[in-house]
Amino acid sequence: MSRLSVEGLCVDLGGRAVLRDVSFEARPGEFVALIGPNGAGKTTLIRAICQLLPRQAGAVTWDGRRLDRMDPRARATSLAYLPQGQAIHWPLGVRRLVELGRLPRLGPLSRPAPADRAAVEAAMAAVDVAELADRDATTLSGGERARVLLARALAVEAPVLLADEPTASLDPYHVLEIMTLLHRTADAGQLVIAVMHELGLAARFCDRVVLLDGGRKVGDGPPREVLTRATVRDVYRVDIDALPGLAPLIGAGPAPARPSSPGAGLPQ
Amino acid sequence: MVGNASADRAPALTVALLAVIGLTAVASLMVGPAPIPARAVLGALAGRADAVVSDIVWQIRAPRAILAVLIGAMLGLSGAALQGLLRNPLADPAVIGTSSSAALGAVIALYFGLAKSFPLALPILAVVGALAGLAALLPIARRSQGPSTLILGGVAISALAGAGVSLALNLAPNPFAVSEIAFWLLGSLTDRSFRDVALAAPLIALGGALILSQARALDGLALGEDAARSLGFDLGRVQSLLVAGVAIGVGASVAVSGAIGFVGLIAPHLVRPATDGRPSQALIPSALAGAALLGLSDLLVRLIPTQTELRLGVVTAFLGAPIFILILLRPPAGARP
Repeated sequence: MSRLSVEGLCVDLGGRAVLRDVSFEARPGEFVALIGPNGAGKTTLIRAICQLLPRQAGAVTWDGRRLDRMDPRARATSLAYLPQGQAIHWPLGVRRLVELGRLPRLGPLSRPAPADRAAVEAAMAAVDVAELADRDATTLSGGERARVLLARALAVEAPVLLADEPTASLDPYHVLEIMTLLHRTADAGQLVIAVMHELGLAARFCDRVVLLDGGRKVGDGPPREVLTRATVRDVYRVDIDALPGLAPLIGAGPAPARPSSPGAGLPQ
Repeated sequence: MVGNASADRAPALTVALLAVIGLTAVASLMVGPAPIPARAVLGALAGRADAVVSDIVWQIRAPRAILAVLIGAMLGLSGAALQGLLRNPLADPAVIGTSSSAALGAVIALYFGLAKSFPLALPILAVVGALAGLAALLPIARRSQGPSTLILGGVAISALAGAGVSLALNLAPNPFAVSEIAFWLLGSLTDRSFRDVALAAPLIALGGALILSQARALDGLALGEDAARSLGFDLGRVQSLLVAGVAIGVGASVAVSGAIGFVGLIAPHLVRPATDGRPSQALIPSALAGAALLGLSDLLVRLIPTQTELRLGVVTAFLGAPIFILILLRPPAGARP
């Protein structure tokens, strides 16, 4: 069976060790949340997996093949990457934007084949943006943009989808919508790895969390097992009860009805 | 709204631009200091005219018309490619220092009087200058992690080449030499021959081919560098090939015509609203718009009666800047300004 394997990954950025000896494995069908406080190395890890950063040591393999030794286009059809932010630099039509996901499969002169068109339509249908197909993507709302950019990543039809904060700056409705879509994508047999900040979402939607702190992996497993009261306090420096709704999700006991003050739970 | 409606406009735009290019090219053959009736020009084209008329049409006017199309197309194509690469609507061939380093090469030929003893010295040194600028920029292009490094590298090379031109003007032995250099810098297609076409055309073809080979990468870059790389594009290679294509093609253009501003900047803006938004789809229409713009400008140079001959770079700037302002004032296509 296919698997993504990260072995002993070390990455330095600007002379500073950002990732130290990170290893984990993941298989298709899993929805893995990459969590950790700001600066823990989550984005660096996801970019290093995609071979967007040079590494000091370690290796990333997919299906037993080293990603750094793969032809870039073959790699691009194995890993789809949804970067942080919603950058769209030109007023592309939505369908044209989603079609960019097919670029790794197109030669310099070839036209999109029926399979390419089908993949684009399927991706747009999956995230429910078919009715936006002819809109200018730069005029969409944040929620619409997030879905369209996700459709672009899905159109790659890669077995692995890596998403960096796919729900950042979305309202609660669209957050749940994107998380549901990612969950469905994993259920359909893809491996989905997403950088996430909200622990409640990770606990609710993901099968597994990989917790980073200071560039090292400090936890890996089902949310209930990793996100204990002690770990959250040590890694995030907050009391679990200060995070609304998290405690019951991970079985850490009922949350108090109301924190005594908005800042309650922060260490004094 | 972009989408289908504007995608449908692209073929119409292409046809319209081709018509403008064709008409200006024909008009260009009709216009010149020697008053030749249109019928005689057409006769010369068909091979039925006396030797003088035939020589004027074929040896003087035809190369000029061909160069206007080739150079205009190269400038428009380069502008579209650089705007796509740098994701900056203000980019043009001057941004990466090509225009000024080619100009420095030409100025060196003028300053040392090489152009007088060997006429091809000027265009050849201009191409050498463009390639030297490219050689300095390529290591930066390969290493840069974002468009700003490349732009800053281009600014530095531009400044250095500009300093070289200023030095030549400063040290020029007499006012005549100063005006010769200054005049050349204003750009012109007057009295160019098929020797100039033979020099510029292959390099423009090579530069154009290098740019067009990277069209798909420009589309990928619409979503940023990380997204483009994750789609399988080696950005170091993409940048190097695009910058090399621009330097070779624009270098050859500047070598023949002198520095001509604004065409590379505004051609993509003229055509972009009629495309579907993908940078690759703006390349060919921008080349056509550049050819049409330069053809029209070179026609105006000859039609506007002035004591001293108008220079092409002056006309493109006078034509280009107001068009650019009009484009900026045009109501935005969508909600985004």
